[in-house]
Amino acid sequence: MKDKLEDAQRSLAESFQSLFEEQELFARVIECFPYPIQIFSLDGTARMINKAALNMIGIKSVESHVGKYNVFEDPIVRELGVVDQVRQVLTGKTVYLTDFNAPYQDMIRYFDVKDRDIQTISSDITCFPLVNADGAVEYFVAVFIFESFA
Amino acid sequence: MGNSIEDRQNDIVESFQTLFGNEELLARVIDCFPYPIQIYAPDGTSVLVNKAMLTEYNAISPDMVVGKYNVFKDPDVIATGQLHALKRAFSGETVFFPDVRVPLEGIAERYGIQDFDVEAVYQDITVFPILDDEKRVIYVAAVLINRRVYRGKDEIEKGKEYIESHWLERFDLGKTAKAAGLSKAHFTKLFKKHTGITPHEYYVNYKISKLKEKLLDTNLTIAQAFAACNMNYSGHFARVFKDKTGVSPSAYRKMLG
Repeated sequence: MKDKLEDAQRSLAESFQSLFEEQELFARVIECFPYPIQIFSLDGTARMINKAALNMIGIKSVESHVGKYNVFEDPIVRELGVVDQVRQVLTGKTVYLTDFNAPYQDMIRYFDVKDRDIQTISSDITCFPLVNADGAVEYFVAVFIFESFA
Repeated sequence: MGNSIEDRQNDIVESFQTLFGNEELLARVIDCFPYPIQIYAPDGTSVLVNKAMLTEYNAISPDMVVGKYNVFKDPDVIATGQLHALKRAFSGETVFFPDVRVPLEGIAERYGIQDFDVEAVYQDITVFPILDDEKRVIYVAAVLINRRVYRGKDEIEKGKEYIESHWLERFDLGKTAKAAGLSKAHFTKLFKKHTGITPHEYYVNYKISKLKEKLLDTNLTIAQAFAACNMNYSGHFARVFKDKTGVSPSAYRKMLG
């Protein structure tokens, strides 16, 4: 069973390489991804944000967010009491946050986001680690899962 | 304006490139993504599956899927009558298929899987195009997110599955018990023994949970949120909502706003 799984993983890695080796497609997949995605370094600093996340949060520019925003210092995340839960991702676990409700007026107050007539940003959030070949967590990813796109 | 959108897109692409320098780490995001992802060529042939997809289907090898599976030729997909909608994604549109029952039997037969350890799975499937710089569809990706998973082959799970698939309709104990393969009396007794509540209470709780989701959508009035759940705002369910949550629907909305 273990061999079968290893073979499957090896052949999966090869299929990734053969498809994408000479193409810059992974960035494109994430850029086109309809669910908002952010990648953070281990200290919680935003390192990448996709288009869907920019639109959902109302962030005015990539530069105003990437390298500046820190999820562990976000007063809204702190107020919702989920910092410790998010930190679990640093141990290599996938963390599922359900019914995350961020009041938009607070976001306007704390961050340089667009002034929109929205009360709350509501979503489930899944945080998962990106581990290197040695099994160490290098980054973590947050993906916002909506009930629908309607 | 056109330029500012293009600038923003370039910023995003650059933020990827600056961070990662190579494609390997971005590949890892897709590969480690905790939900199944499959990427198709424009003709519908699978060109990539991630680890979560393989785990979902009991560690089948990508060789069994990549280059062989074609979504347009899948009899289970054809049987859903959704091919036309699916083709929209291959024409450049993001298409959302909510609450799709996964055809476990067809998958088991196709890949020679002995037995899934689940009875039924319902997924939200989002199919979206991957575009090149000229906005042409070069690939299409599908993300599959499990919404309801029923483990164990018992009657309770079948009853729950029936209720969660028919929550917009009036509660019908006879039909629910029939879906579980039991008489009404036996099913009610067994359900209460295992869950602590009656099937009707389970139905009401499920309906209220759906109403809570709708109330979070500020594009809807409270009456529209009720209507979307097939309930009357001025009727019985408005009182039930208060009984269950301790606040009125409008207070609930304010509380979260």
